[in-house]
Amino acid sequence: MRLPFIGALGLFALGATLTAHHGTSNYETTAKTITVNAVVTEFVWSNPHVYVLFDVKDEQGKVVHWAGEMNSPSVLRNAGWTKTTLKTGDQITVTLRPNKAGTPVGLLSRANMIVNGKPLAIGPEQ
Amino acid sequence: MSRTTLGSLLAAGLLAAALLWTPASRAQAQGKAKGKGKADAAPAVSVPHDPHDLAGVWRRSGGVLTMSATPPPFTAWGKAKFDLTRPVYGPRAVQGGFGNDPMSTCDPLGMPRNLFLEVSIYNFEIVHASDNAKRVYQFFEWAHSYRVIWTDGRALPKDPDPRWMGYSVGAWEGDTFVVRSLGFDERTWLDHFGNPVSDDMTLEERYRRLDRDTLELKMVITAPKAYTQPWVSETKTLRLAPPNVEQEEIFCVPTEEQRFNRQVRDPGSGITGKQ
Repeated sequence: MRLPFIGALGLFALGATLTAHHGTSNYETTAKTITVNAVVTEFVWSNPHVYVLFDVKDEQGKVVHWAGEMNSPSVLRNAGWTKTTLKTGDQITVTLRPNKAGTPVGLLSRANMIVNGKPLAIGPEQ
Repeated sequence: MSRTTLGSLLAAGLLAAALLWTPASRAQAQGKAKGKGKADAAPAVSVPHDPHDLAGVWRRSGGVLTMSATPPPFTAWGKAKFDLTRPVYGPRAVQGGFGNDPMSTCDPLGMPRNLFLEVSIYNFEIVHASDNAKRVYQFFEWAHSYRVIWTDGRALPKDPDPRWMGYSVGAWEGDTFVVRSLGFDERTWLDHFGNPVSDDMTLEERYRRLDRDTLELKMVITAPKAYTQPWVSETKTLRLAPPNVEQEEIFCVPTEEQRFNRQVRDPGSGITGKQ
């Protein structure tokens, strides 16, 4: 069973230190994040961008397809990730910096992801 | 408190500090502080080294991701070229999908942009070769690219065809390795802010090893077509990675970048339906 949409919970001041990997100009600041419950549809482990595609149910129960940008494989590897850390069907709770255009694409924040009920550190943002 | 008691307390405190501050804990603390695990585990120590041997993996340490904080004034040509760029970094940053940084299509970064390493996590490796002609290879982790610096005494070519990395020769001036380059392809950006490269640009790099683990780099570019005066860099500092560090295979793969643009970068900028 898919978890319900949590929505815009956050005005979390995460205090992230950006290394400005490939530009984060699409996204809102670290002070404006949202947290969603979702189901992974694909985990793309590619250089220089790793990203995760996932489905979120909105407040009306409609499924919205999201993309969440992450750091590079080398950075994630240092945080303990591999190409199989996320799998299709995993249930996740993830915190994102939404983009300024209002489309369902975000930058995963430094907040821990919860994967199938277990917290998982994701290391630095881009 | 008696002198004996004070001495005993002091001795106990020093012993406790020594037990807690083991080499392992020191290495761990340094690794955490720099955030690159094993790559930064070895502490900097003053040990003998050959100042004319630059071999090793070097990682940038601080500084701006360009020559210096302020470029020299542009020429009219330089200003026009600069105005055509739409970077995704810095004060002129546009949303990613609207940018035109050559990096976002996996075009070669060229020189000197590769030296800015884009991101502090990437590095370059220097290898000295002398099997045939003396030369130095500089392998850049980003995009799995390299250049050759000829050290066999040859002169720079006159009016060479433009190349992404230019054409480079190097020589020692005392303990400073001086690299002079020309013949650059002006399709590159000098940095991720969109500062221009012109085909008349010359680049001088001066590498000096301050100790085994620290490499200093100073640069000057002269490009009269783009800038009204030479651009002198800030002093860059690079740190030597431990010998067990391997460069990763970090290609920029065009098909993967295209997919990323389609699934993340463009929709994240509000662009939809782009082929």
